[in-house]
Amino acid sequence: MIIPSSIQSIDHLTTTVWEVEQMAAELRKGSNVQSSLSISTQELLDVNGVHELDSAVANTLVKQLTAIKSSAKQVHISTGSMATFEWRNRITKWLRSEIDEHLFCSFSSNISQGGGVVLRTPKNAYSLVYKDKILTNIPTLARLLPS
Amino acid sequence: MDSGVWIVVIAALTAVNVACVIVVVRALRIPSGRKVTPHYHLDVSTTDILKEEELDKLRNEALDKLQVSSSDTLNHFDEKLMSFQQKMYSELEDQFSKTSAIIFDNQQKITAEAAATIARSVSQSAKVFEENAQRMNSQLESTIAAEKKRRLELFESNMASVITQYMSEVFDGNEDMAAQAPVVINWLGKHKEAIKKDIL
Repeated sequence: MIIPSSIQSIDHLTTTVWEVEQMAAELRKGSNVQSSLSISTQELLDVNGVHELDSAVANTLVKQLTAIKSSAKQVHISTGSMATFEWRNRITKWLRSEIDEHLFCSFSSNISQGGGVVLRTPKNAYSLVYKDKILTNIPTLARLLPS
Repeated sequence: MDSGVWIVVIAALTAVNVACVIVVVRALRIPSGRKVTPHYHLDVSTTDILKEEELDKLRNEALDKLQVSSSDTLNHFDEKLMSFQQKMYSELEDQFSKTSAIIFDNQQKITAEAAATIARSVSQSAKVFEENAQRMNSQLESTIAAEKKRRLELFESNMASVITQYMSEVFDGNEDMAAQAPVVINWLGKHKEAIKKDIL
């Protein structure tokens, strides 16, 4: 199953699972709920070729999504300023294409971190913070200061 | 009567009196050589000695002589006066010349000394000014160096907070994330294998 990049974090996946579950319940009642789906859930259906949704398909989707959620890996990215949805999509796409197709990523912004990006995995943190770059290159900074 | 005539008459009478006194004194001089000063009274009238015509004659002669003498004296005095005046003028000129030369020399000396003093003063002032300027320049340089050192030390000791505050003020939450996307993706690519190891 393909998870679209608009569904970036496990929390978002949880919401999507809940939405699909609700959709399956409504379908069991015989109502047409597809028009009220969220954009990301609709994208999930589109990228996975689900053009006609019925109760059985919805139940299958719920099972697959729940399985993915249970084994999902997630990293967290902190940015120096608020990242746009497009930016987050771009980074999520790269992570899923280069690291793992079911890798999820949560995002937050921290103005005091001093610009740049910090990526945290369950084991390590990788920093592209400009402040850290400057602080680890003080000799260069001192050399560039006017004498 | 003119005063000159009176003078001649009185002089003649006095001469007669003096002659009589001398005669009497010589007659009374004592043999031992001692001088005794006796007291006599001589009551002689002028007309008893000289007749009126003789007196007139003497008087006229005296007047003539007095006039001649006065004229000579005046001429002589005038010559002397002119000579003295010329001499005085000459001496005054000489003295003036000498004094002027001395004053001129003194003025030249004073002027030269004043010029030398001014030159020394100006030179000394310039030297003092230059020394002060050099000292101030040196103090300023040392102050700037000390201030620079202090600021660098302060900067280094507060580097983290300074940089953090600087970045916060520069970006102010408006960091251009879209422009950074290629940089971030490139950076992620460098850590790709490490991230895989962490999550798989």
